[in-house]
Amino acid sequence: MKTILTVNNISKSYGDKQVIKDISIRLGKGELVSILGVSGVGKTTLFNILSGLTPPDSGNVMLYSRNDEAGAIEDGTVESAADESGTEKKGTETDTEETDKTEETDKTEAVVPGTDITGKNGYLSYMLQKDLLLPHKTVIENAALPLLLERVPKKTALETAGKEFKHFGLDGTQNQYPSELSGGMRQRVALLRTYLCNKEVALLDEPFSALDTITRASMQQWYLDMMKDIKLSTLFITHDMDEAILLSDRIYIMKGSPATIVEEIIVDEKKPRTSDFTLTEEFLEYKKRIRELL
Amino acid sequence: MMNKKINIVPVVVIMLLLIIWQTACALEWVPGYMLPSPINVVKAFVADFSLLMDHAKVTLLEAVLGLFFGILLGFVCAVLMDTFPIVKKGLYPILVISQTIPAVAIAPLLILWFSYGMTPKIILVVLVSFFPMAVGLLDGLQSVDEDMIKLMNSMKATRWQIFKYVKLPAALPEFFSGVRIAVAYSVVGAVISEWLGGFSGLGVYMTRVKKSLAYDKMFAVIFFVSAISLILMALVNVLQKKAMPWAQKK
Repeated sequence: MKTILTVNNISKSYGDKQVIKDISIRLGKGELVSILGVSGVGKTTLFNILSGLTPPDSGNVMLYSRNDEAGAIEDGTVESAADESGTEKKGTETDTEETDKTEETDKTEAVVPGTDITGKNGYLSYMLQKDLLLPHKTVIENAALPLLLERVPKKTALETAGKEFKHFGLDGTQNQYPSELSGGMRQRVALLRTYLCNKEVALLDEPFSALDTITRASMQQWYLDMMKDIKLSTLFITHDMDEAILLSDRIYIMKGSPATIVEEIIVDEKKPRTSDFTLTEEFLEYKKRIRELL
Repeated sequence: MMNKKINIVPVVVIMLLLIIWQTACALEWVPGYMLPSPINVVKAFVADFSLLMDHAKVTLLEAVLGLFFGILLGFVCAVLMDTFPIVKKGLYPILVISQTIPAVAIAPLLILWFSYGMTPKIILVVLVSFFPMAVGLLDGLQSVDEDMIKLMNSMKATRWQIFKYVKLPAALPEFFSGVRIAVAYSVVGAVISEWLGGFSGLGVYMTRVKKSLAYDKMFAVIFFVSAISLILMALVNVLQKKAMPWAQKK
């Protein structure tokens, strides 16, 4: 799998307090990778850094965009922070990583420089915890906002957004105002808006956390169905173990103060998945393991 | 409000008060020359109608022109204070202090400086309407959710785009509240400055009927002035509904 984004040794302090320390993450093309940790551990701080809103104290963020496709790394696996900080690690997957490590780093430096997007905004699409829809714009105008901000003519922008409404299960809501929609629908609009940012990587910060349990479950199912067609590379923040296991290809566990990545877990279950997966033995195994780590 | 179903309670209360007033006058609980009956007030209004209209034109023109410049100035100040924190630091205390100076106290000064024409009246209206506008709008502009600004920044929005898409629409309710208060102040402001010197306007009419002890005309003009304020405020409500169609769909 081609790497699209690497986060290398990011640290950040506010005043005397170090919030995150030496965080390294790799995201493959079309992959959904979760960052799982308790509330307040620093996940949002990390996303603010990745999106370029907050500069890190050290470390960098590299984007291997479609423009330098030719050089994109084949099956690059970046060193996880678990390796770096030398915390105890589970054998199997980290072993293979170790061997790739040197080779990958070489390639990164020699063959593909990638784009250093540390502290630069506008490269990744970012969906914050709240839906943040503009109350005075109609649903379709809200969805088309990223296009309008790029000064795409209004008519074209609305047409482009309109094409996706059916796919996002929003048909018929185009000319309503956000206040007329339910929480789940509003979240879909926010997701569509994120999608229409048309960046190669999406950062989703607990997109379903504000929803009630039943709506959340149906949104997760809907999200899995939708992702069959849309190959979006996604970094996903959550504090919900079930959600992380159900949706992700890999999970980074973030823990401590300052927060570090303590473990990387590969969820080796074929996609597309359904919510039935949550009822299986394997699922419980993953859950047990994560619970021990947290 | 364009409500079909007008709330019945205030209407009943007002009717009741009018009936008590009329009874008090009819039974001569109060001497008739001190408190004219509502019917006499209406008669006085009808008798002086065309004269009142002539004066009202002047007062309204002063109020509307003053409002226009007051709102404009308030808008510019609010945007500047919102955009540049240093402007806010410097300007805001002065704004607040300026509001402790009573309008009645500066009106004579303005007349000394700008003579008896319309200018001093318009300036006074600008002064009284500017403050609620600036403060209201500033609060509105700064009430925007920080995360919304973050989202806009992550999409690389320019300052102008953030203002246009997020801040200004979010501040519209406060903007209109400010306008409503400014409207009420502006009519009163114009009338007060006319009291203190001038050739025409409802304030001038008031001082004249006061001198001739025409209580019925006094009452007529007082009700007329508050009616003008109410109509202007209702107009602002209609404008607000037009400007914010999304607010009704809740």
